Amino acid sequence: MELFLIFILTICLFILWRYTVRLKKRLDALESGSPVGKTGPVMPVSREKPLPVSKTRPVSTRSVQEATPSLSSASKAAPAPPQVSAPQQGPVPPVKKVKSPLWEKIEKGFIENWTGIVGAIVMVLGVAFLAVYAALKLVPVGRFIMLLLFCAGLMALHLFLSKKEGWERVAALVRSSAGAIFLFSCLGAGGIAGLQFIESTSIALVLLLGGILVNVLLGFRGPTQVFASFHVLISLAALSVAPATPVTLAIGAVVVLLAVVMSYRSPWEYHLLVTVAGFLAYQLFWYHRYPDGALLVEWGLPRLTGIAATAVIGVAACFVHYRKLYRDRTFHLPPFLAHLANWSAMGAGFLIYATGSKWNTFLLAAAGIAACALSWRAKALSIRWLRVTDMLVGQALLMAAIGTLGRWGADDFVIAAAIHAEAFLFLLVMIIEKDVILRRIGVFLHYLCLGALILVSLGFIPYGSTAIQARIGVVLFLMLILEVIFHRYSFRHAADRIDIIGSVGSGDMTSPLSIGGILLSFLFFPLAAVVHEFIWSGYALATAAFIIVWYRRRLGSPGLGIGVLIIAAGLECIAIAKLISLSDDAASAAIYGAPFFAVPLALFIWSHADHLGRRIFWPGVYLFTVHLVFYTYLTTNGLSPFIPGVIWLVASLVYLECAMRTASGGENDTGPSSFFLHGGYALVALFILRHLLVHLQSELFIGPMKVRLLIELFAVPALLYWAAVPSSRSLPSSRAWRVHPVFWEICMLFILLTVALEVPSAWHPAAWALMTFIFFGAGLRWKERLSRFRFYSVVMMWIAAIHVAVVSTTAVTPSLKLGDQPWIAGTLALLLLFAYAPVYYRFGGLDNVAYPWDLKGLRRLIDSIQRRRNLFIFYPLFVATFLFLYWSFDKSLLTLLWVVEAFAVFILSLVLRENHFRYLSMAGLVLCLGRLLFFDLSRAGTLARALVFLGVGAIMLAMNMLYNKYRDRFNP
Amino acid sequence: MTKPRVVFLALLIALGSGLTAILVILKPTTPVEYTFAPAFQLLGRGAKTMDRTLTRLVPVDSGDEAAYGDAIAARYESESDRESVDGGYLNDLIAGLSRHAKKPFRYRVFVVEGEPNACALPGGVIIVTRGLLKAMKSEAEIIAILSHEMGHIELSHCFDTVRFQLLSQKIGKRSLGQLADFSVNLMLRHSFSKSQEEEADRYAYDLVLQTDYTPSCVGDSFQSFLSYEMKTHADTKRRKTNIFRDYFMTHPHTVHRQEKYSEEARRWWITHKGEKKYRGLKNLRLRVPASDRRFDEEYVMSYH
Repeated sequence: MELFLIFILTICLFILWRYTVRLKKRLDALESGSPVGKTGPVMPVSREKPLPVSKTRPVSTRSVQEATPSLSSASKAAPAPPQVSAPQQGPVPPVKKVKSPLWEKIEKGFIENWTGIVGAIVMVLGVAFLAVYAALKLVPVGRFIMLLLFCAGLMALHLFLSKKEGWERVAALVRSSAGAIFLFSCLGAGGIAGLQFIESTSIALVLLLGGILVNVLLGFRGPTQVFASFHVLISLAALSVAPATPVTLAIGAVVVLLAVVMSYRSPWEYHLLVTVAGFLAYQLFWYHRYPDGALLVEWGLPRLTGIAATAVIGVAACFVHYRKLYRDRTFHLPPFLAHLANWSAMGAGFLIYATGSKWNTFLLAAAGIAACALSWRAKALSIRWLRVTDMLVGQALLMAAIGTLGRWGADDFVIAAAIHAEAFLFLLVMIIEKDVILRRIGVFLHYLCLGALILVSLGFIPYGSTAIQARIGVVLFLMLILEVIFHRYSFRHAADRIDIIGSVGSGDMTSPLSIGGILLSFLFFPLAAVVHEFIWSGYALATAAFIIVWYRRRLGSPGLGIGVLIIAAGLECIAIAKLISLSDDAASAAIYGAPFFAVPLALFIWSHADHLGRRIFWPGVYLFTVHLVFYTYLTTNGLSPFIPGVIWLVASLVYLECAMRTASGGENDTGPSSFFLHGGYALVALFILRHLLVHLQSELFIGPMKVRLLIELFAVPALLYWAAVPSSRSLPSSRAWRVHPVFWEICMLFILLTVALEVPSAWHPAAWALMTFIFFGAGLRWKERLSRFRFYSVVMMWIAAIHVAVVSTTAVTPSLKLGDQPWIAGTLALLLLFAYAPVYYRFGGLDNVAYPWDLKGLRRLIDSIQRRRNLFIFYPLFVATFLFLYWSFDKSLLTLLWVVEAFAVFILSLVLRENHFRYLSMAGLVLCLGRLLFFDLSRAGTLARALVFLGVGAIMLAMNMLYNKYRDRFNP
Repeated sequence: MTKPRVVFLALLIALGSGLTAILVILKPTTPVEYTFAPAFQLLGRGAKTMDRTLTRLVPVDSGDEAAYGDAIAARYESESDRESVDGGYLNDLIAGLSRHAKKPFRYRVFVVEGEPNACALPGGVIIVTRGLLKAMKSEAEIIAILSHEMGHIELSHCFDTVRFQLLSQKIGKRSLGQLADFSVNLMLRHSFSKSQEEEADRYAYDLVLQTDYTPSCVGDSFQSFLSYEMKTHADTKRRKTNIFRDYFMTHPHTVHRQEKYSEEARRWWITHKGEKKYRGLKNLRLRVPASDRRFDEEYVMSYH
């Protein structure tokens, strides 16, 4: 096995030697300038040492043309075929294929680096094989010596190669390999099984130190930062194998310190980054491997060592960048990252060894101030990125210091307020210093802290502790004032764009939008939360909001305008929540909620938006409506659930009046009219909803009348007023007003609902029949506005007819009163319907029925009814009468009653001059005569028979007489 | 035009304010905070009219219904103890009430075990549970319940549920008729069953007014139901409003029915001062109908 390995190694070394020899020859050839063999590979052109252009280089058509511009000009005079021109001199070499630039690049990269890569691999393989061999054959000391010899060999190789031009990189790699192997052998001598021959820990550590020392020195010597980082990292790796003691940590710190020192020599940013990160990793590894973690909790050597190491490394690494070397350098990522990594590593290191002492507050504060001082130093040195970085680090440290105030007994609110104040101070300083980047960061930080303060305040308020509540209230109030002042400053200095996120408006009316105006509004809510449990808080909050609304108008800030809306909406929510909690105590609720009306009023009065050049009415009107609804509901519902609906309806009338008085007319009405109208609609809708859900269920009486009926008797004229009063001529044609005519339908449905509820069900058909008259009359009287009511009268006629035919005939009552009998009301309804039919006919039916909206389906139906009125109007009436008579009266009287119906149809034919109806009445009469002969004659009693015959005979005679008298009416 | 309008507006506002003042002073309240049931009840009238039209178009009549009722009664004859004291007592009461009936049915009451309840079946059959006899406090309240069930029969509510079955019996396709009735009931009945209950309540009240019993008994019977529910189930959940439950519930809220007919009775007593009406607490206890024996102390002369 061993022989096999040695054989393999020998072959590898032979191949390496052969390759090296060939390379040497080529290099010599290049240096001497002699051509390379015809078939040999072309050496890539080195960037540092460009190869001279070979005379035997193949010439392409393009290159010839580029090289001989005169030829081109000559060709203009005497055109020649575009062929490859003959070479100017010398023999023509064989045309050689030109490699692509990409391939050349890959080839070059490989050839330049192959020695390092292959060499390192081979070397590691060799060491491995030797180690295996040694492990099998030699004693540990022998193995150690063997490794040292190998290192010595590598060093010799390094010395040899380093003198050869172009081999410096390979030499450096060989040297680094030697250093690494040396470190490995030193480490192995003290602690790796198979190599270990030293039993004493101290001696082993000394030996390891020697290995590390050598590597650190090699790092110093290393030509690039890659080598330096490599040696430092393997040193730390070797140390991490050693037992975790304060000594090893200190050694690690020294190694890293030396590594940091390397960065002072030249700007090795990546090395610094790797070193700092490596040390943090080493510390974490060391910390978790520490034999007794509990020891770290107390003050002791390990912790002191850790803190000292962290501090020394951190400070050393930090100061790397405060040198003239970095002056006036524009922002570069590597140094910034290295610097930030150092601060982070320092913070993490301190966190590992944190004692939890309350005195840390001062340490952190001191560190923060120091970082700020460094920042000013960076500013003095004109190192821009360092200035920003250190200032931010200092800011973070100061905030962390404030965060530890809890150890001094400060509560969350105080800490959040102090952090906010600190952020505010930072922002002010940056504004004064006119540092744009830091000012922007400060603005962001300030608002972030403001948000945190608001959230903490909302979660913290200790209700029941008046003193603390008062303190919080005062602090929040001061903060609010501070924010308002800041917003004013920012808005007035809009050119500086302190917290301006854009501009709103158009044309000359634009105005800067300060985000502070929006965000400060949120500070209002914790303030409200602090005091909201007190009844007087309504007045305090409303006053504060009132003042802010006024101030918004005075300042003219759009940002504060949005903030004011947020405040008003939020306050309303708070007020509603409080009113709900007070709803059992109507007086307290009324007292509490009353001042909140002032806020929407203020919004209405001071509604002018400078950047829009007009007044914004909707927030005030809508908010007032919302508060009115909730206030009245929550203060009066407890007294009686009937009250809110009535108040809403009364209020809706006031809204309508306001809408009419503020309407300016025309398309572009920018006044509050539409918004008042919306509010009025909402109140009416709420009333109707309330009526359906609450009022309908009640059967209580007040005096002789039901409560429900009282409300309905008030609601009907109120809704009629809503529908009838606004005159369309003087009103604007906005969408809100275009909807308004629907109030006629609302009013109609409400009246029908009232009738259905309050009129006894037996009398419903009569009521519906009466409605047909009323609706038709209204449609005729107010043709312009209510012509559609004639269509509704037809619908009511259908309803009445169905009711009479189907419902009234099956309705049964045990009551003996005549008025309770369904047939009485049914008969009255039929009489009314028979009276309605000629009226309908005489006054044009559904001619010129118009709707204020485009309803095509309904239009078609109306046209269809008008075209076939006999089918839609008269036949339903006749059929309903027939069925009503059939199902309501005794069979013995039916013939007489149906003859009466036929007579009524005949009269109708006379009145309407319709032959069609006359024929119908005649046909009915014939059928009745048949029934008279075949039914009544055989089944009816004598008296009934006599009465029926008498009646039928008399009616027929009357018909005959009438026909003869008005015969001319049927002539065309 | 403006001046009369403003005057009218002022009048309206004054009216509204006056009404509000009255409400503030008298503080009238509602049985439940809010409910959709009355609105659904009102809307159900349309569906009920459609259903009634359908019944009208089916060629069956009261004779068919009476035959159907006899068949049902024959089935109950074997299962219930109509001959017991309770059965005899209730049938005596229904015999007195059926004098006011318009339909040609023989009204019969069957007593079964169970929680307080009663139901009407086509053809004049009424089922009453023993729990109901225990829950009601007076004979007048029992009369109110029987009148209500009789109302369902007289107003053809029971007939509406079996019309297709009756028709199919005529043509020999019974199962088809049952399916048709089931389908229509499933789709429509929940929309107007509350309206039917309202009609039956009205019928019961009007019928009670034709008797010697106190008109308060209708409201009292609902109050007895409520007391029973509160005592046995402590069911406060039912007072909570739910739009779906309000729609699918078969009966109006008992509190509403109780309030409505108590108010009507109160109004009746105001307009009928000096009249004497009967309650029959003892009659119910002794299971002796008032038609057989009356107790002087059972007469009332005012709303109680």
